[in-house]
Amino acid sequence: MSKSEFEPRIVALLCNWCTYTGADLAGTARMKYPPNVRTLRVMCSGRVDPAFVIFALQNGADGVMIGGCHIGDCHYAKGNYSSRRRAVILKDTLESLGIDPRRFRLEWISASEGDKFAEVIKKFTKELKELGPNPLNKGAQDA
Amino acid sequence: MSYYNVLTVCPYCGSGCTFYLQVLQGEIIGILPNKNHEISQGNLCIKGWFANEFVTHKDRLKKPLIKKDGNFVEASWDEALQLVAKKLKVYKPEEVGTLSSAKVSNEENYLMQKFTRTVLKTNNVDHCARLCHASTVVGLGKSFGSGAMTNSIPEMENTKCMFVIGSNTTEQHPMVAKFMMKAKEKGAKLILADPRKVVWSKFADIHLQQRPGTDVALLNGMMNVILEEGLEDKKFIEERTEDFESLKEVVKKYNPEYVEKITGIDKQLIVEAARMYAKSEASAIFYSMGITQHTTGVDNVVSCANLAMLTGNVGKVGTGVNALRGQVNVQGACDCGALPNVFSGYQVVTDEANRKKFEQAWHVDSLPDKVGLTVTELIGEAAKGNIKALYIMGENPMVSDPDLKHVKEGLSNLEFLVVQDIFLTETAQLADVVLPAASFAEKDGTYTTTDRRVQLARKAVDPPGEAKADWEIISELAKRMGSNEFNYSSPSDIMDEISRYTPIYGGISYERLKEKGLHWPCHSKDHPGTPILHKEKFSRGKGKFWAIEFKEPAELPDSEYPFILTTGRVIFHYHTGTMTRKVEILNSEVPTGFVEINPKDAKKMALFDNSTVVVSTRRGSIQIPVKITERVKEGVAFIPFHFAECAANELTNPVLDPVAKIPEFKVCACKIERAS
Amino acid sequence: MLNKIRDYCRDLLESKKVEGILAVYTENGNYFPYFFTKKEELNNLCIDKKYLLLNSVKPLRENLVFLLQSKMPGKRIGILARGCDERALFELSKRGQVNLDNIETIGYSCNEEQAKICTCPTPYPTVNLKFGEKVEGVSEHKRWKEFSQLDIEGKRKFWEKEFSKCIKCFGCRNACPICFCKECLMEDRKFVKGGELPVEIPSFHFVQRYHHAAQCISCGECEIACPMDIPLRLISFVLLNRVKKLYDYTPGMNPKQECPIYTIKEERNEEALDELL
Ligand code: SF4
Ligand code: SF4
Ligand code: SF4
Ligand code: SF4
Ligand code: FES
Repeated sequence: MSKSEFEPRIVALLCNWCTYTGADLAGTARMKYPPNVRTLRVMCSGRVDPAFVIFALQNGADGVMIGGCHIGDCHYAKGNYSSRRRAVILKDTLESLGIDPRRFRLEWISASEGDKFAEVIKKFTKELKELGPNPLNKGAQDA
Repeated sequence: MSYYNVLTVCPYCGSGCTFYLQVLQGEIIGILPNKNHEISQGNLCIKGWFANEFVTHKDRLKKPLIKKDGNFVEASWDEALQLVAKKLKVYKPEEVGTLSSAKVSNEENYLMQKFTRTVLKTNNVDHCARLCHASTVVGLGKSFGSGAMTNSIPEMENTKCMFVIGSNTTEQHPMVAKFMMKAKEKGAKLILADPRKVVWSKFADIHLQQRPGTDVALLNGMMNVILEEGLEDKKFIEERTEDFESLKEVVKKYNPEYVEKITGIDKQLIVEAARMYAKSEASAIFYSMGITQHTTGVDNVVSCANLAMLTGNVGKVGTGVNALRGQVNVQGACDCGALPNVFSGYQVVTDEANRKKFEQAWHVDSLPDKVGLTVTELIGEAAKGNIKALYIMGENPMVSDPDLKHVKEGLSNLEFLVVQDIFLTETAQLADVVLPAASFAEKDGTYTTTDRRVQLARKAVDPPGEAKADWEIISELAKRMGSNEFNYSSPSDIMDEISRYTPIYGGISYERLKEKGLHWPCHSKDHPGTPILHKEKFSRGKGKFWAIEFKEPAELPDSEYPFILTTGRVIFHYHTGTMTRKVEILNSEVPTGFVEINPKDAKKMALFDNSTVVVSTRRGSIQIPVKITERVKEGVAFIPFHFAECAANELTNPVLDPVAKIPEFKVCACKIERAS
Repeated sequence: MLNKIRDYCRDLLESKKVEGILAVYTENGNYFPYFFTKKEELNNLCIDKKYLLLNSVKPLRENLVFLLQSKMPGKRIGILARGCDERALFELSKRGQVNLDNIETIGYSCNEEQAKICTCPTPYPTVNLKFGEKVEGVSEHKRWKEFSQLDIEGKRKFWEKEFSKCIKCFGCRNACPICFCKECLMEDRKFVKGGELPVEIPSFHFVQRYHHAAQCISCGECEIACPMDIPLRLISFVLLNRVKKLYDYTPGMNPKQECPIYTIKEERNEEALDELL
């Protein structure tokens, strides 16, 4: 598969109170963003166990994104603080394991920031295209 | 308050790890690996780490059971033993037999054969080594004069080339694999001959995926290349071996092209493997059931020995023909005479002098001089009605033996069956009397590892309920049957008797084993033990080459049964699952059996992972889920044999090797159909 | 040092200050953890062989010290502790796994040789050092040089090979004093397929490394327990260094300091972290 025709698969784990709605907005407002993303709703970015990220990467995702409320806006007060602390460590873990840390992102996107969501996905897709298929994905290895 | 640790031997495979049982207030709470042990080095495999779980399992047998009107009723020891003694006395010696066990200690195996020979007055004693390494005992005996692993496990760290044939070492002997992996990391070469793609394949320098059952052809092919290219060790052949010419003659025609046709292995790979093995400084062969469990089991073993002698790879560090034995004490059970043709220490029963010696030792007038029946024969004769009573200790032929339908027929046809075990196994369910035994954690005893290392296991706790150690039960029974020769106060006493009459165990005593194990042969109290056999000369004097022709397995695929079925084990379970299936984590890893088939075959039959199929052979059929995997080649199916509910041995072929009487577990023809 | 320690322990036992002392016992060249309650037994006490005393008893998944404490509530227990024992004690007490109040820690230092065996950066108890001198620890993993030179794809290949050796013995987890979860993710069949070798890469090994990013007390037991010599702690060193830099936190140094990854006490200004994302 040449890099140009490679369409990365993105799994986005989105907080119910903000980014998920933001993504919805991006959709209903017909903002243009690449169709590479599968969204999953979680109740808080703090709910995302880093194991989910590994699971997605191991089972076919080329990139994973967590979307949460801006710092200070978390419905559960501190959820996004801990998700941020964890994300930093997760990036290091990924890197040590030989998985490019750019395959994982944490973004703060509020319910009204549909445009930001579209923008982030665009950027992420572009970056993943440059990175190429995720080597952890068994199918990608055979290709 | 008391908390201490009791050093014991892992009850599973023959690698011989030792570990501590952690005991808090008289209760076993967990396991600690032994950091001060040559083989364990603070490591264990998953089975070892959880080996205490079955010991305290609620299903442990706690009282003797007697079958009355088809149901088991609890009984007192007195009643149960009285009944067994009375019954066993009724039969003529040739109508009874015993099955000893590779899971119990040396002492207990010794007692079982002594009981059979002196009290029952027959040589009809055998155990499941028949089903795994009988071919080794015979084959290596023929070639070298001693039927045991030639070298020791830890030294394998320093071998330069490993030729692994018919052994999925990582899964079956994880702690042996550890040392092989260390060698690999130090730059040793690995040649793997296995029809399946196993964990090792990734690390192999050469992987030979032979058609099951064609090992002799492959080995002859490698020897052909070695001789063609002049890579043999002429000096070694000249000085230390005999009958080389006959071998040379036979392997001539096994040129790589010919062998490719038989085995399905690319001829270039055969040439490369032969060179790699012959050219390295120290090459070791490792084999296991993939070599032995064939109608040509002895031929296979002898061919391995031929290859090793041809290149001078015997008697030195990191070389040898290393038979990896499956069960914790399968080596010891053989050493201690639980075989129909030998007393302890492989002293043959047909030799008058040996019989005299044991007659004097055991104070009996005469010992039977006819070689007894093997496991498979005992069951066959039971089906015919010639064997009328069996006493089985710690074995589960209802899962482990080939062609289970036939086994059931045999056992059901018995007039009297006694089973002594820790759980009510599939076999025990058929018994008339069940005697509750102590597990490894509840008694002292010695066990002999695959590399001939005799090790001491210590009692940590009392057995549950009224269960008793096997040695106590046998002694009790012998006394009730009128013998005065079973007055032992402890297993240590029994070991003293063993060492007195068994030259290879001559120097072994509990006192010496306290610190660490000893490799037999160990002839006297000051003998340091023998990690490497055949150093200056072979046990039989000169090593003997045997010219072996390739023979096809007994049953080949045809249009009706198009698949080759092969059986084996997985790392998460052990033998018939009696113990491992009582352990939570092991059950959750692998809850039940499965049949592995190649994706291409699966596609042809439109099968998905986990769909249920019916696998049948001429003997029987089972329902079993499918696992689709590249591990097996097209046309080959693999089933692990641990699981009674989809028992591979309903299917296997009970044809035997003509000499070793080992059944052909590794090859038979089967068909696979979708379950309706 | 041995005699001094024995004398000290004898006093503790004689004066009934403690119910017993958890330490290593040696006999016939073998050695193992033991709960000393009689002073005569102290002749078998040994200090040059290591067994982590704060061991998480498997398959129960309770800490040995906790089990002892629950068998004799309110009683005082002595522990002849090396650095790692003390660190484990502190981390476990933060998580409610042992009760520090009733523990008498008799700390002693390890020698350099032991530190090498364990790849231990702090071969002594930092709070309760009673016997011996602090010696220099090992702050770099023995395979760090080789590993750190690899690029990202090189690292992936490195682990692909190393993890393929794994025989799924669970030794790394079983030997770890900090692994006490009743439901361990390494056994979650949805996350790591059951019954397969080689194991799924990297999820199986990811679990413990990640969970202990800010909990690993650098006792080295996981690598010692690994039959296949898999250099698991290469990852731990990276993570521990990061945690130390960001939060000035090293597990096991201070029983009062909370773990920064799992406890967010104050909503402090951490925008700097965004830079790292
Ligand atoms: S980990 Fe450190 S403190 Fe613990 S035994 Fe090893 S060197 Fe000593
Ligand atoms: S992860 Fe390893 S080094 Fe860290 S605490 Fe656990 S066992 Fe010790
Ligand atoms: S690996 Fe993680 S989930 Fe498993 S026991 Fe250790 S800390 Fe708990
Ligand atoms: S100790 Fe080593 S072999 Fe065992 S599970 Fe852990 S990484 Fe795998
Ligand atoms: S609620 Fe949105 S991040 Fe916590």
